[in-house]
Order: sequence, then structure tokens, then C-alpha cells
Amino acid sequence: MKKLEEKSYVGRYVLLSFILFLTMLGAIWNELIIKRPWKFFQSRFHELEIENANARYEQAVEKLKEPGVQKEYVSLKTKLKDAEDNFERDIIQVEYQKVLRELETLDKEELEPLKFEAIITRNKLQEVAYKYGTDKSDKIAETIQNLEERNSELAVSINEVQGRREVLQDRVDAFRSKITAYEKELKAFTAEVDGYKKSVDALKAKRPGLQLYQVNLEAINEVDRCMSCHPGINKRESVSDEQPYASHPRRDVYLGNHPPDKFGCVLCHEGQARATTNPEKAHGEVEFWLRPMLKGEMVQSSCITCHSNVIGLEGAEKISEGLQLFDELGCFGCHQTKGFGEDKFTMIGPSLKEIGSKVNPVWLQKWLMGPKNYRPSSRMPDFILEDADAKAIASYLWQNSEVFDPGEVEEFDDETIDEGAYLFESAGCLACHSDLEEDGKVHGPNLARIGEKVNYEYMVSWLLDPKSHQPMTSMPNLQLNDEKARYLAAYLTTLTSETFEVSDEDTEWVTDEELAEEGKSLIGRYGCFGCHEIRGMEERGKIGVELSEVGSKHVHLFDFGLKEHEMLHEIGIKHPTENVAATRRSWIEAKLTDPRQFDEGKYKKPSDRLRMPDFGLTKDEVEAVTAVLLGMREGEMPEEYRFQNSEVQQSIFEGKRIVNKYNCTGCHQFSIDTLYLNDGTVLKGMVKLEEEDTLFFQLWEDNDDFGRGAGETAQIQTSQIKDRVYAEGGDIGTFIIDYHVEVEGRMSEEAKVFTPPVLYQEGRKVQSNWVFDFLEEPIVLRPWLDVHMPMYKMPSEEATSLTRYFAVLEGEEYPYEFIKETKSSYIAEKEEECPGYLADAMKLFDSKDVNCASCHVRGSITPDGEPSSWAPDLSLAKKRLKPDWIKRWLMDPQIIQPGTKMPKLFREGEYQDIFPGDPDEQAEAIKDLLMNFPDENVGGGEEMSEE
Amino acid sequence: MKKVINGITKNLLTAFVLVSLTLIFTKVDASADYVGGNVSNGGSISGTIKLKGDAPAAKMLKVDKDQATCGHDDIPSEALILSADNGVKDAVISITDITSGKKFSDEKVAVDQKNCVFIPHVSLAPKGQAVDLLNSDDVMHNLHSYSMKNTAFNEGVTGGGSLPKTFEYAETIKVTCDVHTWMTSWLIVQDNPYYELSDENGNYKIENIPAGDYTLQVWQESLGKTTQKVSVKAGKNTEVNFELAKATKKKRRKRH
Repeated sequence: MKKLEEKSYVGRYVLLSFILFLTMLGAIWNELIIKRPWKFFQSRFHELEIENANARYEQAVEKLKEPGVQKEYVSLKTKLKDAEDNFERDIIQVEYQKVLRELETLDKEELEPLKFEAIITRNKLQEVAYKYGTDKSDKIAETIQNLEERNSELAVSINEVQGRREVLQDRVDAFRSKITAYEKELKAFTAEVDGYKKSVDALKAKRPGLQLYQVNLEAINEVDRCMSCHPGINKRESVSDEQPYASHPRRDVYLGNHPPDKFGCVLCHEGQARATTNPEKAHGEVEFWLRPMLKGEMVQSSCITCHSNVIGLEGAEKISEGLQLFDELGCFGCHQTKGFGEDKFTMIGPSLKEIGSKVNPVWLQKWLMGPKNYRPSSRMPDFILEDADAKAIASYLWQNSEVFDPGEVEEFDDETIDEGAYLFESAGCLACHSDLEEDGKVHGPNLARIGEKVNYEYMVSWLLDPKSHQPMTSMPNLQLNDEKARYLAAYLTTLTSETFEVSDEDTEWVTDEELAEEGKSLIGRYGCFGCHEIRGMEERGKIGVELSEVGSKHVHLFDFGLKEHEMLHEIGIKHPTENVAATRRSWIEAKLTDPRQFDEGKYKKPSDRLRMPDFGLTKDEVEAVTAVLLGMREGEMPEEYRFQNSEVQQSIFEGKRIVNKYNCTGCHQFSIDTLYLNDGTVLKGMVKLEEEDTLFFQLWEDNDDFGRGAGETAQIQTSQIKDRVYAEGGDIGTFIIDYHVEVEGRMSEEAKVFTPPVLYQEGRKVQSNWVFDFLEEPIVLRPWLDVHMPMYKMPSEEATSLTRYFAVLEGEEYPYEFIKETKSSYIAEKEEECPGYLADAMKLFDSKDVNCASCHVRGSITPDGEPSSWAPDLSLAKKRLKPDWIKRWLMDPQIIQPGTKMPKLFREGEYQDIFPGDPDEQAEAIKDLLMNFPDENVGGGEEMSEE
Repeated sequence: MKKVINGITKNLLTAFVLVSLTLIFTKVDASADYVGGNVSNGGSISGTIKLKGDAPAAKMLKVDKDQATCGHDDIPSEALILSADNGVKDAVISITDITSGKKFSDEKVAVDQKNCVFIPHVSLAPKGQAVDLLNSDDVMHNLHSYSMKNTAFNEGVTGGGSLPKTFEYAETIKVTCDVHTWMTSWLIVQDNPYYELSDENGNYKIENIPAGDYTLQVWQESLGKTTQKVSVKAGKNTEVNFELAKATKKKRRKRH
């Protein structure tokens, strides 16, 4: 054994040092490279930027190299060379120099001395003029005059010399004119290439910044570093199609409205925004991270965390669809959900308290076993019931509702049915319903097989007053009389499928009380009362899980049953916690697609089995609803990120909701067509005629850029149109027009007057009070129409919202408005200015060439002819119309409503013997008259009959 | 030598560009301009328009307003006027696809409203030419035009007044008076001068047509539109007769 001091540790020392050295290298490598992948991404992004600029540059060069272009380029160059050579030739040069010298001589010997003298004369003149201020002697006056004369002489001489100079200059220029022109042309050839070259050089000269980019979102205590790896996300042009280099899809909408400097990325996308060491971590796709990143359309789920009115928002299409489905399908009937089911004037499904009078037991049982077999467009989901269960439920419903015996099924003759069919088309049913299976659900239920379902007597009673049967229905009272209701019901009972036969099945089970008892517990299990009013179950609550925070629900609470392994495998993970968001989404989508699949392979008592019904959603619909559910998260977004709706926006949103609820657009057109032309012109109006590559467009608003006024029709090539937005609403119009064209042989333009009034800019036209009253109790305003406004009996809150909507949309005052025309002081002033003002206006009103009463109703005084040729009641004008609108209307009705039967009456120079003045004054007078319409003119103020 | 070849290629290139440009522009304007001139030794087309099937009962229009001016009696409808042997009056016969030929006539076109009837019931006018719309009655009439291409108008015309209008596009325009709902007239704006109105026996003759193949169209307000191909020979008459049937009415709507 060697002595300690003789023992060598060199080997170990070297080895350890070596290990230490490697460790250090590793540490440095890790510190500088591995932990900072964003450096690589930023460098690569810089390279891509250069590559892109280069590609553009090369493309431009290629274009320049094209034989055709090259030929021109070369020929230009040759021409330039020729021109230069020609210019250098001695003969030319001699000539050129000569002219040049002439020019110089002219400048030096003639022009300059003249100009010099002119300056001196002007100075002298000023000096003398100043003196004249103190000493007004004739002598000075004479000097001034002399100087002024000299001055104008000089001006003439200078002008003359300058004229000669210009000729010379032109000659000088002419020598070089060809050269200058060619040089300019050559420059234009290479301008594009030069531009690109410059940007490539600029990019190359710059080194990538290589720095961490972060946004501090103080309010949510989050640091967002996403853009360290995604440097191109907010660039106008995308350098690549792939992340992390691409720019944000629909950047203008998403980043334009949410600048990343303020919102970061995490607010919408979630993820672990602070992490920078690798993409998985940054995206939060790591075990136990509770908010992994959302991608694609699913990001829209975040919209609802800040926006309260999402439906219709640009960029939120997917979630809008989901929200609409969620509402329509009545998910909140079973699941308590914050923000849904707040409309206390609506119901999801109809009340079943009269079901025994409405349908027959066989139909009811079949319906329960598969609503979509009877009506594919039904919203009612399939509860996947056994035959016996369906009978049990049907018998409970039957025994707990009003039942009457419909007796024998009536037979109707063809004439009755035809009359009913005519009414179905003309009473307005088509605005909301179709009797053709393929049309599906329009707004109300599809009626293609309604005859199989509803008893005739019930139908009659329903048509006469829907609200007496279903107080919450959105179906209005069409104000039919008994006879018409019977015709219509007769027609409806004939609507059945081709294979339908009246059932002769035994229906005794329906009165079996024991069976009903069984049905009661089944109804309790399936929670039918969530959507329907059922006698004896009014107080029951919702049976499903609350969904208000389902988007943050912990993954261990999702029960995949025996399918966990299989489903997680599909999304590429082994355990739910590996990617919380993916697991959550996968479960929700599976549940919506096939709600009871998690029971598969398990033994469960019937009462413990899953009970959510099948809604028959498409894959797209499942995704849309999932987006909504993922957005329902716990906690609230801080104020500063939440979108604050202005009062106006809120009113518009609420108004639109009611317009949709009652399907006002089924009859009324609410907006007009908009055309966006390539040159930036925006045209508002209606497309009248479309041909192969051209269309005829009637302007509804003046357009100075386009050089056409409202009411005019213009031809526009389709190739000029970049984009168009179609008018909304007025769906029933097509049927009405078709009818008048095909049956009465009218032109389609002419038939338009029979369609319900267009409500575009309605707020400018009518007084708010009047709108409110009209909504509550409509009267017949336009006797010539086929369809009249039905009675909605909407709650006054809704009528108020709708009234406000019309006003707010046009920026009109609401709810109070001062109408000066109806005040006595106003008229007194007018009478003082022009004695007999209203009497003269009345003369104009009555004159044979204006003759308003020839067409217009005035209270109980009606014009000659058929009611279909009458025009609206003028005695209503002062309560109904806004004075400004009346005047605009009188000046030129075609501008406000092209195609109206109301003619333009006032033109310059007419009716001077009756009411002297220009059209503006005449229209003003008629407006004032209408706003103060005398009562003796309306026939004792009797109410006009309704029909 | 080389220069010459270069020159030729360049000229060809310019010519090509010019031709293509011309093509592009003529395409846009293809239907726009009819060229009128002198036609020598032109042919003609003549014939009769008849109704196929039984003549429907004559319709009467009820006069229910301004009877002092308009009269108390019902007015016979002019929507379909037939001769004893079913010849159709007021059918419009026109050549739809002719681009050059005779000049437009410079006859002034006017439509009057007299005793609450439009006179004439059907008028023909070349596009771009002013049409005088008159009111010879002592009551207010409004002139309401229904058109898809031309700017539509609806203006009141005082008794004795007139309203001149010019039409930009060839089109069949209906003009009504909304005050007196029975009043209807038709104004057919044409983009070439080859058009005629059939007489009370349903006869027509179009003359001075350059020889060639054309499409002949007949339109009548109650009977609709029909076309036939026709070959016109120089200096000769071609006979083309039409038999029009009243269209059966379609039943039932389709949701769009």
C-alpha cells in the first residue's frame, strides 16, 4: 500500500473535472438553447420573412424576364441608347448648344434687367404711395400714376420675353425629350422589382431581435408570453401557413378588436401563457394544468366570458349557432343554466293540460316513442322509450288533462277544403308554417302531417284564439271569424302522409289508472315538466345537473363508464388529467352525440340508468353546443375586459330577440340590399332584376359617388360587385307576389304592393306611442293588403322593447318626443304669417288635381271604389306619423318607398292659384294640415270597421 | 433585316392587343347599340296573330270613381281584343336579334289619358326617345310605371298637364293610374326599329329588313311571349303566323 501522499488522484481528478466540464456545458446548452425554443422560432420567422420577400422579388424579376416584357424592355433600352447617341451627334450638339446659348443670352440680357427694373419700380411705387399718405400733393399723385404706367408696361414686356423664353425652353427640352421619356418608361419597368429588392435588403440588414415578448395582464394576474414564439401573429401578411409563424386567422376581426397588447392571447385561448420552455407547456397540454389551450372554432367558447350579447357577433359564428341551439332545444328545461330561461314569457314545449282534447291516444303514444318519426324537424328529443313506458306516460297525461270526445271524424267536400287551402295561403300562415314536409320547420312547426295529429274541433278553437289554449304561445290571433277558422281547420285535417290511415287500435289502456301511476313516476324520472306544463307536477324542479360552470368542471367528475380507455385513446392520452380540456371536450361531445352511451356494458337498475334524451344533433351542432358549454366557466372576468354594451346596443339586441321570437321578419322586410363595389362604392337599395352577368339595382338612398339618386334604377355588371348583403325579412312576400302574378296576371313589381309593409327605417316614420298601441291592438291600416297584422297580445314589456328598437335603430328620440306641429302656438304663428294658412292648405288638399280624399280614408268617410283601392286613413296621421316624415313623403314618396302607389304630386310652379309657393312650402302646408286635421272632416270620429 | 422583322412582330403585337381590347369592349356593349342606316332591297315579314282555342268572354271594367269625368258605364277591357275569326289586336311583333338595318322612325310617341282610359292601350317607343305622357281629363291621374330596368316613376299629373319621360333600356313596361284602378296601358321600349303592333284583325307587316336569319317575337299582355326563327330573303316577303294560347295558371307555391 502506497503512502497517502504518494497516491495519485490524477485519474479521478481528470475524470471529475471532465464530468464537471460536461455538466457545465450541458447547463450552458440548456440555459441558452433548450430552455429557449422561442429563439429558434424567432430566427426561423426572420428567415421566413426574408424568404417571402425574396420570393416576391423573384416573382417580379420573373415577370420582368417574360419574353414579351423583356422584348419591350430591351427595345426600350435600345431606343434610349439610340436617342442618347443621336443627341451626342456633333450636328445635334452644335444646334443644341446654340439654342442653349440663345436661352442664356435671353435670360441675361433681356429678362433679368426687365425683372430687376420691375422690382425697383414696385419698391418706388410703395415708397411714394406711403408719402402720399401724409402729403396729398398733385405732384406725388402724378409720380404714382407714371410709376404705375411703367409698371404695367414692364409687365407686358416681361410677359412677351417670357413667351419667347418658353419657346426656346421647349426647343431645348425637345432635344432631350425622347431620352427623358424613355428613361421614365424604363424606370416604371423596374419600379416593382426595385421596391422588393429594397425590402429584401432591409430585412437582411436586420438581425432577429431574439427577445422575450410579454404582456402583463394585471387584472387576471397573468403574464402572457405567447408572442415570443408567435412573432408573426399580429402581422398583416402571413409569412407561412403554419404556426408558430403564421399570422392570426381573420386577424382584423379577432386581433383588430382585441389588441394583443391589451388582451394577450390567453384571455381567449387559455393555456399556460407564462411558460416558454416548450410548446406543450406553453399550451398547457401538460398533466394537471386546468386550462389547456383552445384551438380552432372552439376558441369562440371564450367569447361568452366577456360578451353578453354574442349572437350575431362577427367572428362568433360557431358559438352563436350553439347559443341559438341551446335556447331552441331548451337545454335549460332540465339543466339550471345561468343566463338562460330568463324570458318569463316563453315556454319550451306546449302545455299538456289539454292534450286529451287535442290529439288521440294512439298518436300520443307513437309520438312519445319517436317524435322525429312523425315530424323530422321537431325540437322534441327522443327519450328512447319502450312501448309500455310510452303507454304509461300517455295515460298519465291523458288522465290529467281536459278530454272531450271528438266523435266521428268529419268528412269535408272539396270546395270547403279548397277554400281552406286558399285561406292557408292568404291569411298569412305561410309566414311561419309550411305544409310541405321538405320545408322543415320554418318558424312554427311543419304542418305537413298535422291532420294526423290534431282533432278538427280543437283546431278550430285554436285558430280562433291560440292564447286561450297556450297562454305562452308566440302564435298570434289572426282574427279569423268562425267560418274562416272552420275552412282553415278543414284544410289542415287533410294534411297527412300518403300512407296514413285512421287507427282502429284499442285505446282502453289510456284510462287505466294503475298504468297512469306508473307513468307518473316515469315522467318524474325523465323530467317532462322541465319543458311542458303538466297537471299535478307544476312545482317540480329541473332534473339535470346544473351547467352554469360546466366549462370548469373537474375531469374526475366526468363518468366515461367503461369507455374511458377507448375515448381517451382516441384523443391520444392515457389519463384524463393529461389534458384536461381535451378530456372535457371529448366527454361533452360524446354525451351530446349519444347521451346514454356511458351505460353500455354496465348492469344498472332501470331507475339508475342515464336518462338524457337523444336530440339527433349533427356533428356540427354537437360542436356548436360544446363551444357554449366549454365557455361556461367559474369566476367572472374582471370589468376591464368585459364588453360594456351601450344602452343603444342593449336595446337593439333586445329588439332583435323579440323580432326573432315573434318572427316579424316572416312578413316584414327590415333591411335593404347592400352592394359593395370593387371601387369602394357602397350602394343601398334593392336588386330588381338579375341577369347572367348584370343586375338592375334600385337605389333607396342618394349616392353622390355613384351619381344616382334614391328611386333611380342602375345597371351594374356583376364583375363590379365585390360583396353583397341581402335584405332581411319579408319571407311571405314571395308567395303573395307569386299569387298575384300567376292567378291575376299582374307584373311582379305591381304585386309588391300587396305584401306587408317594409319596416326599413320605420323609426323615422311612426310615433313611438302609436307603435306601442298598434302592437297591443292592431287595426287595419292598409285595406288593400292580403294579410293583416295579427293580434300578438305580447306582454307590454316586449311591446316596449320592440317600440324602442324601432326608435333606437334610427337614432330617434325615445320615449318622449315634442311634436311642435300639434301645438296651438305653432299654428297661431303660421296663421299670423300667412292668414288663412290652414284653410288654404285644406283647399289644396281638396283641389281636384291633388284630391287626397280620392284615395285616402278619413275616419268614417271612405273614398269611392273598392276598399282594395283605398289608401291609409289620414285622420290617424297626427297620432301615427312623424311630421318630418310626412313632409319628406309628400315631396317624393318614391324616394322613401320605391314602388308605392302614392304619386309625387308637388312640382315647381304648380297649384299656384290654390296655394302659392314652391313644392317645399306646399308639402309643409299639407303636413301642418294633417297634424291638425279638423274633426269635422272625419265623419263624426266613428271608428272604421276592421275588415 | 433584323430590324424589319422586329418591326413586324411589334406591329403584330400591337394589332393583337388592339383586337383583343376591341373584343373585350364590344362584348360589354354587345346588346347596347343598334346601328341604323339605309337598307336596299330589304325583305319583309307579315302574318296574322290568332288565338288558339275558344275566345273567352269579353271582360268589363267597373268604373267606380270620378264618374262625372269617367262616365257611368262599364268600360270594356282591352286586355284581349279579338276579331270575329280570333285575330288578336295589339300584339307586339318584333325582331329581337337584329343589330343593323333601317333607321328609327322619328314619329313622336304619346300616351294620353282621356275619359279615364289610356290611349293607346299599347304603345311602342325606341329607347332613348322622349315619350309624352298626357292627361286630357279634368281630374288628377297619376302615372305609375312598373319596370325592372328603367327607373320606375309614380307622379300625379294635373288635368291638361303632361309628363315627358325617356327610357334607357328596352323593356316591357306597364303603366297604370292608381286613382282609377281600371286604367292600364303598356309601353314597350325597343332597342331596334323592327317592331309592329297587330291591327284589329291580328295582321301585321314588318318591312325593310336586311336579308338574314332572325328571331321573331310576339308578345301580348294576356297571352305572353312566343318566338319563331325566321329567314328573310332580299326583296321578298316571308309569312309568319302565330297561334297563341292562354297560359294555364300554375297552382301552388314553392318555398324559395
